[in-house]
Amino acid sequence: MIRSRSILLVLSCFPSALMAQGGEWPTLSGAGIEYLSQSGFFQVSLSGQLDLETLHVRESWSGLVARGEGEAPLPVDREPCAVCHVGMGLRGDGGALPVYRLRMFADIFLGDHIYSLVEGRSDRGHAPSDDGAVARVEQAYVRITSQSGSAGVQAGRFASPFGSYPLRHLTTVDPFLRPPLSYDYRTTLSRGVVPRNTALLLEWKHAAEFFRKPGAPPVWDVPYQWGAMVFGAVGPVDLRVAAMNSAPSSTPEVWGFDKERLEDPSWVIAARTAVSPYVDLGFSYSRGPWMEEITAGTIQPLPGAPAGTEPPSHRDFDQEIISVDITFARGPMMLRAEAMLDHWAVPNLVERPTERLYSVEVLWDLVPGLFVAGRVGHIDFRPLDDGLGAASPTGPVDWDNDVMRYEASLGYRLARNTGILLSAYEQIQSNEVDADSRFAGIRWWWAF
Amino acid sequence: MDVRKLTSALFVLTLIPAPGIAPPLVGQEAGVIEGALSLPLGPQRRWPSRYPGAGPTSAKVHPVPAVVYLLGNFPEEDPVTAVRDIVQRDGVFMPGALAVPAGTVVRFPNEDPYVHNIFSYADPRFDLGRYPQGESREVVFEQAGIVRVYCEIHEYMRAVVLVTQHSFHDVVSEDGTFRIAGVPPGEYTLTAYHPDVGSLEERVVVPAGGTARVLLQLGGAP
Repeated sequence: MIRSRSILLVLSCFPSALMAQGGEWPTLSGAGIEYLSQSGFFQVSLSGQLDLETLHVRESWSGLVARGEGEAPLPVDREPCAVCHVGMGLRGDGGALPVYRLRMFADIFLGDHIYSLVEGRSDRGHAPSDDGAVARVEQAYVRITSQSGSAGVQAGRFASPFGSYPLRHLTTVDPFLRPPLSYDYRTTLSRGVVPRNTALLLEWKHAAEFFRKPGAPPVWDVPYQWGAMVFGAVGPVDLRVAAMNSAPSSTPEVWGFDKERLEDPSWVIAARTAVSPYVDLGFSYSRGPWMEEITAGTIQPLPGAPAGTEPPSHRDFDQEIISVDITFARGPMMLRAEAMLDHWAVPNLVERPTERLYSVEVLWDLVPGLFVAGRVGHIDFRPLDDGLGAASPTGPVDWDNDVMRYEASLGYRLARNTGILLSAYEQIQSNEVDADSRFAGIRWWWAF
Repeated sequence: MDVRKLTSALFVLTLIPAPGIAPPLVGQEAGVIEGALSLPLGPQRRWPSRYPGAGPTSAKVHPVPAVVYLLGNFPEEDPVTAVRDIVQRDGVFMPGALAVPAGTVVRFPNEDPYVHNIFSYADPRFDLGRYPQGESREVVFEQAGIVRVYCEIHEYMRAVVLVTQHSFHDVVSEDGTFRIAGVPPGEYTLTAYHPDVGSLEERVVVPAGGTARVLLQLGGAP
């Protein structure tokens, strides 16, 4: 029996509706800002994430975080000079760098097998800097999956499948403000600068202030490149093969659509499997051209080539990089480790500069929503023969200065979709000419 | 103000009978509330995996049932010793909604061949960590309220636990019906809640030894 027919639709501002809101901040889907057709075939969901950060670097830059330009002409053929950076504006107190990152996602489904993502982003650059705000389309791709959903193809602009970091970057399971060292460190090799010979390349690390700032990282954070990828599952192994328009080390300027690059792509093969409920193993390999238009130096014909032979193109020099990673997660603890081996083919050099990289990180949930994390990263630059034979004063020497990075992080989830993250690192170079770096930062994030 | 405290305070407010509602007639033969709830739920939403290799390429968000419960003054009940389960199976919480009296222990057994990490940042705030198939964790729900439960690893998984200070509640079945038995005769506010649609309240009078029948519509037309 119904005493009253008056039905009150209780809006979210009423107590009984509000009581369920604890634990989650508002979201666009929660506000009904999405479209789902009657049959469910067509779905458009909008979501976003806002990150507000204050970063502090002791020097004017560290890794991919930069404050001010401070560019200087590269002394490609220069002699060693330990103090030549003085007065060039290449060092100094970085100070606080306020940055933001606003990401808007449109997830579009046409049935169960066609999916498209468009991500718009506004921030202060791929490499956080004190330049002005920029807005761009960061990802735009279409994915078609098989009837079973276990295989498919994806094409457009998307995060490179190389390495373990792209799978978790800027998500709630990434407990640090910056990427691992391998994804956030510049070597002294530059995409447009050619050493005359090995002996000169070996001098560049003594003028690291000049060569490192425009230098190429082994992997540029998470490269969002144009490309195409096929993926599928073979037994318990998830496989991906992708042709991306540039190498993992490439800079954001070349990630955009370029037909010529896609005809000479950088190939990526990646595999991932769960070897137990707690342990995931990943492997990835990439090979492709990494150099761009030469801005300093000259590419010479290959040794032994007949007279009059044209020198190779800058596109003939590949970066070849291999990554192996493992993740162990149980209870409140998560352990991740990744090792890489990186080879660079460089004009005018017989031997390829090589470095070994690794990072190990551990995350521990202290109480619900509160976690601490620590990470160690190391890059071991391998010796390179200077080609002088018996005349060499040193014999083979490392082609860049080894580096260690120690990071610590503390995070607290205010609710399911918002939280605060504090992170800091100390980066120690093996050569005192190369400045050690310190970084500290704080982020408030809200996924809506 | 702390969101959890605010939430708890507001929930306590909802337990105070609205003006004009008579207290239950204790000592008389209990009655029953039977009803049907229609919801304007559309087809299942899909959840994307934006990075292949980070899990399934997409998943469907499993529908969560609505819950109904009474607001009013009720005789004090014996302390609860109940234990209930919300199983994780095929990437879905089963059942998707649970209605329990305060003090109930809810277990979360994992039956999937991969780990889950169950958490809620409502009240109670808990994080059960990552655990594999064959293992279970449990939470004691002491505070009245509606607790949304999620998996940290599989964002499309969700469940709702309705916790009340009494046992006059139910989870709406798939056919939209519900039943609350053993209700002392009197006038109450019946509340229906669904996480995607919201909630509504309706006054209902439970006769001694009889049945009050209710038809509810939550949200717009189905």
